[in-house]
Amino acid sequence: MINWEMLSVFVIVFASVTILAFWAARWRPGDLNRLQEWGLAGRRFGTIVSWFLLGGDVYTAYSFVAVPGLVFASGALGFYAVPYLIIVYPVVFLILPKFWTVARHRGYVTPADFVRDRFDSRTLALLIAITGILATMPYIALQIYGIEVSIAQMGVPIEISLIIAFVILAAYTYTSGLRAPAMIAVVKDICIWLVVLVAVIYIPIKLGGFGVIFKAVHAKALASKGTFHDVLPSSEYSAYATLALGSALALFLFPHTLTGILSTNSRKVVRRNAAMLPAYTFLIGLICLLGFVAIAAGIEPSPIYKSNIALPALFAKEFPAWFAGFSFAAIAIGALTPAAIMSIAAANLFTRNIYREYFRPTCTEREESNTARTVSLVVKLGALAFILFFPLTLAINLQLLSSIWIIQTLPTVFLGLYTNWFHRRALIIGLLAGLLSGTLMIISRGFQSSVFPVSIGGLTIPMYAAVPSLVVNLLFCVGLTPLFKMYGVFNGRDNTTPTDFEAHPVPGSSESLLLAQMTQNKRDEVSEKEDVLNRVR
Amino acid sequence: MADMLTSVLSRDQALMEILLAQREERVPMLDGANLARTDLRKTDLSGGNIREADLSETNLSGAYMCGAYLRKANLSRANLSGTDLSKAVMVGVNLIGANLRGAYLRGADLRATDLAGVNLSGADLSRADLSETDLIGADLSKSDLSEVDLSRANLSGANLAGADLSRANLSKAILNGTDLSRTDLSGAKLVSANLNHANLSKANLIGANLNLAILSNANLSGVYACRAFLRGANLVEANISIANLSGAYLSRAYLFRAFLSKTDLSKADFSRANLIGADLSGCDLSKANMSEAILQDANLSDAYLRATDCTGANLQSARLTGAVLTNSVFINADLQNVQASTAEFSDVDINAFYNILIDAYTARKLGIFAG
Repeated sequence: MINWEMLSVFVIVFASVTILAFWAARWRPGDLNRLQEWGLAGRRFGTIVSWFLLGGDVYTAYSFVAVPGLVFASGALGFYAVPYLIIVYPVVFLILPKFWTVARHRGYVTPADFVRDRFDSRTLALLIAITGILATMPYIALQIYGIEVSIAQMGVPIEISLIIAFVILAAYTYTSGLRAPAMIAVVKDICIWLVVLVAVIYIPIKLGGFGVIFKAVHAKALASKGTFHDVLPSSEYSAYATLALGSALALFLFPHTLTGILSTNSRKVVRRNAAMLPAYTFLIGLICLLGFVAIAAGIEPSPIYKSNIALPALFAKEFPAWFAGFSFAAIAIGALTPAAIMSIAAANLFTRNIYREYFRPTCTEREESNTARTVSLVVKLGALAFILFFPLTLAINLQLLSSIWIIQTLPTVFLGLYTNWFHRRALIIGLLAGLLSGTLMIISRGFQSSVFPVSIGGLTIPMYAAVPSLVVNLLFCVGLTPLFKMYGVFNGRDNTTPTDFEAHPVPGSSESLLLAQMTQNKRDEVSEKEDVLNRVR
Repeated sequence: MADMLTSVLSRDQALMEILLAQREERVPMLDGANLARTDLRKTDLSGGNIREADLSETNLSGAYMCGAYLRKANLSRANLSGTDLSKAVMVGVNLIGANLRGAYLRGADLRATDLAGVNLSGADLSRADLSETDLIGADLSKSDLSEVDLSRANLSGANLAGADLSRANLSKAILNGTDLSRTDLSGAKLVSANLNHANLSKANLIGANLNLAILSNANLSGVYACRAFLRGANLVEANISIANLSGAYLSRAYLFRAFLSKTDLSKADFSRANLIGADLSGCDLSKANMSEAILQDANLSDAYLRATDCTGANLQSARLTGAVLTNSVFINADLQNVQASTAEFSDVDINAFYNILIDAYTARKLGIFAG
C-alpha cells in the first residue's frame, strides 16, 4: 500500500536535489573534458564544501541504516563506530596533508598514480587499483540497499524505484562529475542533521524519555543474554578495539575518501577538515542511540532487511507521514552522494591505472575524461544489477571484506609517503598475502562476522580480521625487503623527489616581490590617469 | 561549454591570487590570467590551473610549477631557466623564444606542441611526453631525454649532441639531419624512425631498436651499437666506419654502398642483408652471420672473416684481397668473379665450398674445386 503523503514529500525533495545536481556542472566552472576537473572538480573545494563532501563520503546511507541496525541487534558493540570515527581524524591530520601535497605537485588523481611513481612498478599500481575498485564496488551496492530499505517503508514498487533513482544518479554524475555529489552533500547533510536532531529529541519525548529507553534496552539484554549487551562485556573488548582501529586505518585508504581529499584546494583544508569532521561523529553517536530508541519503540526485525530496518521502521512508526517521507528522502540522498563519489573514484582508478597504463598510453585528456564517465556508468549499473539480481547477502558479505582488502594498501600508500625503503616486490607479496589471509579469515567464519579468533600461544583473542591480516602483510614487507636487497633484485627508480612532499618547495618567499609589483602597477595606473588629465587640461 | 574560459584575471588580480594561494598553501587558479612581463621568480605555482594564461616575457626563473596545468598558455619569450615544470601539462603552449635552459620537465606532457627552435639545452625532460611535437631546429644538447616519448616527433635539424636518450621512444620520429653525436641511445626505440643524413657519430646505441629505420647517408662513425637491432633498416651510403656493431642484428638491412670500414661486426647478423658495393674493408666479421647476404661488388679487403657464415651469400665481384677467411663457410655461395688469391682461401675447409657457384677462371685463380 503506497503512502502517498510520504511519497509526495520524498519525490519533491528528491526532484529538488536532482535539479541541483545537474546545475552543479556550472558550479565553479572548469573544463569537464579533463579528468582532474570531472573527477576531482579541479581541486577547487575549500573548507566548507570539503566538509560537506567528506561528510557525505564517510557517513553514508548504509551507515545510517547499518549502524543503528547493529546497535539494535547486538547492543554496545555497535557503538564501535564512535571511537572508530574519532581515531580516524588524527590519522587524516597526520598523513593526508602529505598525500595531498605530493598529489598536487605531481598531478595524481588516484593513490595508484602515486604508487606507480614512488615504487616504479606498474604491477603494484595495478594491484592497488584493482584492490581499490573491488573494495569500492560492494559499498556502492550497499548504498542502493540503503535506498531500498528506506523506500520499502513507503510501499512503492522497489525495483522500478531503484532503477529511476540510479538512472538519475548516473545521468548527473556523467554530466557534472564530482561537483554533483559535492553540491548534493550540502543539502543531504542539512537534511540528515535535521532528521537526526528531531529524532533524538522528538521520539524519546514521545516514548517517555531516555530513562524509559535504557530500561527497555537493559530488559532486552537480560532477555537475550549472549547475543545482546547493553554494556560491552570483557569478551568483546578486543573485537571492539580492533574494529575501531582497523576501520579507522582503512577508511581513508578507500578510493572515494581519497578522491574527496584530493578535491580540496589546500593541505590546510585537509587539516581543518580533520579537526571539523568529528562533528559528524557526534551525529553518528546520536544515530547509534536511535538503535536503542528503536528497541524501546517496539520495532521488530524485518524478515527481508532484518535489523537494518530498525531506523526506517522507527521513523515510519513515530514520525508524521510527511516528516517520515522527508527522512527517507534524506537517507536516499545520503546514498546518492557516496555512490556518486565511489563510482567516480572507481572510474578514475580504471581510467588512469588500467586503461591509460595498459591500453591507451597516448590517450588525450578528452578521451580520458570520457572513458571515466563511461566507466562510472558501468560501475553504477553493475552495482544496481548486483542488488536486483543477486542475493542481498552477497553484497553484505563482500562489504565485510571491503575494509579488510583496502587496509592491505596501507604499507604501499601510507607508509610509502614516508619511506621508499620497501622493495616493490616485497610490497606486492605482502599485499597479496594480506588479501589472501584476510579473505580466508572471513570465509572461515562463514561470512557471518568480520571478527576472527586469533590464537597466540594458547591465548585466543577475537580480532577484526583487518588487523591480523595487515600484520601478515607488514611481516612480508619488512621481512622480504632486506632479502630482495641482499640479492640485488632490481627495485626500480623512485620518480618522486623530497621536494614533492614539501609544503613549501621553494626556499624563501616571493611575497615581497609580488607585493612590490602590485604597488608598482597601482603607481603606473595613477601616473597614467594623471597624464590623461594633464593632456585634457 | 566546458572548453570556454569563464574567468580572465587582470594582472593585479592574478598577482593577488598567487599571493593568497601561497599564504593559504592552496592551488592557484589562474586560468586565462594576464601575467605578461611579470616577475615570478621562485614563485610556487605547483598544481595551478594556468590554462590559456598570458605569461609572455615573464620571468619564471627558479619557479616551482610542478603539475601545473598550462594548456595553451602563452610562454613566448618567458624565462624558464631552472624552472621546475615536472609533470606539468603543457599541451599546446607557445614557447617561441622561451629560454628553458636547465629547466626540469620530468614527466611533463608536451604532446603535439610546437617547440621549433626552442632552447632546451641541459633541460631535464626524462619521461616527458613529447610525442608528435615539432622540435625542428630545437637545441636539446646535453639534455636528459631518458625514457622520453618522442614518437612521431619532428626533430629535423635539431641539436641533440651529448643528450641522454637512453630507453627513449623515437618510433616513427623524423630526425633528418639531426645532430645526435655522442648521444646515449642505449635501449632506445627508433623503429621506423627517419634518420636520413643524421649525425650519430660516437653515439651509444647498445641494445637500441632501429628496425626498419631510415639511416641513409647518416653518419654512424664511431658508434657503439653492440646488440643493436637494425633489421630491415635502410643504411644506404651510411658511414658506419670505426664503429662497434658486434652482435648487432642487421638481417634484411639495406646497406647499399654503405661505408663500414674498420668496424667491429663480429657475431653480427647480416642474413639476407643487401651490402651491394658496401665498403667492409678492415672489418672484423668473425662469427658473423652473412647467410644469403648480397655482397656483390662489396669491398672486404683486409676484413677478418674468421668462422663467418657466408652460406648462400652472393659475393659476385666482391673484393677479398688480404681478407682472413679461416673456418668460414661458403656453402651455396656465389663466388663468381671474386677478387682474391689462393692465399685468402687457403685456410678454408674444402667442405665449406659445397655447392658454390663459381666461374672456372676464378676457381682456378683461387685454387678452389667446387664439390
